[in-house]
Amino acid sequence: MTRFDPVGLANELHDGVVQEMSALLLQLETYQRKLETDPKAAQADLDRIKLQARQTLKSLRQVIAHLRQVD
Amino acid sequence: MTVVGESIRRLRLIIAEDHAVVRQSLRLMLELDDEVDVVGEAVDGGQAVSMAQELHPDLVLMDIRMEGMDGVEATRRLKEVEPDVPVLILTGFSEDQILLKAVEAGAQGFLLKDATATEVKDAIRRVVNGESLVTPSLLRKLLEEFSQRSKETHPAHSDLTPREMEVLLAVAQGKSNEEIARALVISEKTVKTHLGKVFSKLQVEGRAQAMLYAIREGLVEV
Repeated sequence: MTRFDPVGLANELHDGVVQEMSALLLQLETYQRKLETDPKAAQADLDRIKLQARQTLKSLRQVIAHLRQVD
Repeated sequence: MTVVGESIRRLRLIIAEDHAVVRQSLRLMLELDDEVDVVGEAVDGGQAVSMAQELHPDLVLMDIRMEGMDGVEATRRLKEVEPDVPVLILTGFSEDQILLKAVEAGAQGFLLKDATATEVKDAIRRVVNGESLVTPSLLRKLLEEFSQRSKETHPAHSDLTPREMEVLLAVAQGKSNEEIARALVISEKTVKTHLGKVFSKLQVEGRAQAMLYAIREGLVEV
């Protein structure tokens, strides 16, 4: 069992999930712009965006797993 | 976009952001814009300062929380060596105290990391054109914070002409140059001239700091 460390948790969320979500939003913005100007390139971007979304989900699951170990 | 003679020059930006995936995503988004060129990517504040000294960009997009030298300290140092390079702070949260420190360090504006591509483009254009940029909610926090700070004796504004004082008060009320020009029935160019003198006399950098000065000195009510 680990002790609950709210500051550590906040930092973990900030450096992990929050940054990944920020990147995801930026990539979606780029995708949306490309859809208007270069639909083929936009389609290619979708795979990368899905990968980023999966990475974000993975990070979030890690935080949850960490929290479940807290006493 | 800056028009030099008849040719059009792209805006040269430096991105300072320690999270690689955010930095790269930001770059890709910015480079979709024909008017913007990302000339440098810095991974911390120290690198941002040295890069700016070398490349003389039109603007630095600066993350506030970075490993090593953070965005506030980097802004302060950048303003010492390259005072004319505007800094637009990138932030995930409206962390009041840190944002206040960034204004005091000389940052011209703030941009939330979840801003849309259009908002980012607009923010860059406005800051490069000499405007300050804060969100209405952040502005309210800034005003509250400074109204609580004790008033110190600072006679700098006693050197202002009546016209310069009018411009300062209008800036403190969040008015744009266009609105001030209309209200005072003068040209925007004249407003800019007055503003330049106000900034110089109050020894402040930009509208946000001038606004904070006016609040701190009790020239306007919050």
